[in-house]
Amino acid sequence: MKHFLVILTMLVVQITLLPGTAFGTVSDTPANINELVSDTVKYDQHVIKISGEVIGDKMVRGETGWININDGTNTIGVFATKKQLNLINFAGDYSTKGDTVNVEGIFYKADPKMGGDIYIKANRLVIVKEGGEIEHPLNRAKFLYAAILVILNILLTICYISKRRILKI
Amino acid sequence: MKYSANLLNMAHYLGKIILLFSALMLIPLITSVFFLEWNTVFDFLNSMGILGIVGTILLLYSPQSIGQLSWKLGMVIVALSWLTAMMLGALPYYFSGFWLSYLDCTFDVMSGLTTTGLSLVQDMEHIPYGINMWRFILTWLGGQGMIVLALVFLMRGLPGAFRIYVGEGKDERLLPNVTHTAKAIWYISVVYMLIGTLSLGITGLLIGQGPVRAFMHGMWISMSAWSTGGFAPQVQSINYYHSLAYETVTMIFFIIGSLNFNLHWAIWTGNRKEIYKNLEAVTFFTTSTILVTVALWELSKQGVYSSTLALFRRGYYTMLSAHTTTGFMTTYAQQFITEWGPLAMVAIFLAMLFGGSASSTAGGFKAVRIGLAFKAVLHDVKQLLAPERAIVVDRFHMGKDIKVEDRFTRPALTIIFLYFILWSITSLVTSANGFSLPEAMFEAASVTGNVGLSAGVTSAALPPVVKIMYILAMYLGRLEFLSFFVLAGYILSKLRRR
Repeated sequence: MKHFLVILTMLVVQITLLPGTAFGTVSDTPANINELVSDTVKYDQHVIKISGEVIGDKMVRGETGWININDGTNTIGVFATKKQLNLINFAGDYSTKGDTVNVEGIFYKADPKMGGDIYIKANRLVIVKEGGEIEHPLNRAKFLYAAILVILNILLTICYISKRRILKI
Repeated sequence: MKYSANLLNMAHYLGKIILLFSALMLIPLITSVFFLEWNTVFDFLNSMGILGIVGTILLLYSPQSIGQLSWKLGMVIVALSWLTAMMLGALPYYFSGFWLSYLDCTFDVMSGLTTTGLSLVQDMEHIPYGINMWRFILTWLGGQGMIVLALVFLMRGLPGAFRIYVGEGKDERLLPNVTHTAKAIWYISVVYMLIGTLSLGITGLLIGQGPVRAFMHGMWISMSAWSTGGFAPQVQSINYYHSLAYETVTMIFFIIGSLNFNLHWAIWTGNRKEIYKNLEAVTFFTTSTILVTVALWELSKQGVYSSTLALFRRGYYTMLSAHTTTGFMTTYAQQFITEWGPLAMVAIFLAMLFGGSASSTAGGFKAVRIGLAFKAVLHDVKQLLAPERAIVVDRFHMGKDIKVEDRFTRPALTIIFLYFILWSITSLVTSANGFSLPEAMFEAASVTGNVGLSAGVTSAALPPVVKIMYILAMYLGRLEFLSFFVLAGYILSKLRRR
């Protein structure tokens, strides 16, 4: 029994050490998206892990779809299943912080099956932090400046119209 | 006194143009109201307020124009208008807080107005709809011509209007009256914009965008494509959409946008043969075919894109985007330097420098000048080979058959030479500030030709001297030098008199 367990353990360790497996073994992952797109040859068709905010749109097209994630250094497309995309509730824009996701998947620098697109095909997609609304409280100083400028413009316009009348233009 | 009359006329037209510019800010202001972006609403209100004060003070100083404008003064007004628009148009950007400095803001305004498309904005994925609207209004305005718009609304029946019109790098006369020509240009542009918005909006819906974003992106991308501007609402440019359909529609519009307005008018009014006979259309087709073939051959040989579809979507699309000086990207900036190979890089340099058509929204040397340069060389060679007493007559077709003469070929060669000098200086300044020569030459070609593709050089971290050089290069490239030289000469002459 002891020998059987040792052999089983060795087999499991060897399998998980194999490159490119879908069991989450990540080889030589880039520090960020910018590093990934700056050295596409190095990471091409390797399993990598990236984190970032979902931005813009969740583009579902049938049973699969696209999101784009931004980690502050750059943005990259992620191709995922509809089931994975349905986990995402928020995509970032001016008034929304998008969900922060961890994506583990295969990076392609120019996938011929996707028209040469550069993207990550997600094996695993996990929401690590849910997004939500971003508050933009009104800056009262801007309101005050606007009021002053409107008054000044009205006064100047009156002066201009008066001058044109005097000059009979 | 002539001196006072010139100054009064400058103040009068500048004042009107500034007020028109201020009125245009109503569009992004209303956009921000719709999307409840209240801080952005006040950013635009404050900007309009400042422009209103400046414009009205100038008009108070000079409430009416005096006499007829000279050619020189027309060009000075154009050159000053663009610089003023750059300085004042940057206010909403500065107030928004999405740019790191006022210099960066002016860079983006000039990039928009000149339809270059490079940007120094921070956190583009989170900028307000109103600010994005202003970016695309600037690029659409710049493509058609700010002065062209002013002629439609502010300068009806103005003696000397044509002189201002020509100062913006335009010389097409669709109709006998320049104001009617200006209206025709805007009519063509609005029609294409509406068709583009509908096409791209529907495409956006089909690829999975929500209806509001599909419509807004459709409108913005259509304005940017038609203007061959290259601004996009997301950092990844057109690659954001991951869609062949989206790329194809944008390609159609940016190719159309790079064609001469005269050609558009000829086709719209039933003269369809013009597209086959027109020197510019033929030259553009020839140079783009040669350069695209060279680039695709190299990319295929290097194995950068291993399928025909990939070559079309990345290689062909990017080469056409460069040649029409649009600047939409379906690759990352870094990939040009790390993957494209030397021959493909030479092809893309030349494509960016050659550019689109004269009197279109495109930049670069312009196809008509390339065509005329080629005709001039051919003519000289024929003359050399002909019997001594023979006179060789060559013709080219631009609306009608025209004899190849020095008065056409010489200005064309002069402008090509000036563009080349500008590109060289811009490359050297970039290289001297820490960038490799290929990167510097690529970025300089993009800036000089008002293209907008980037090898990764343009960023907020760029030294100020390079940013200023790029602003100058974009400005000179768009106005095709003459207006700026006249302005510089005018200022120098006033300084000398003192």
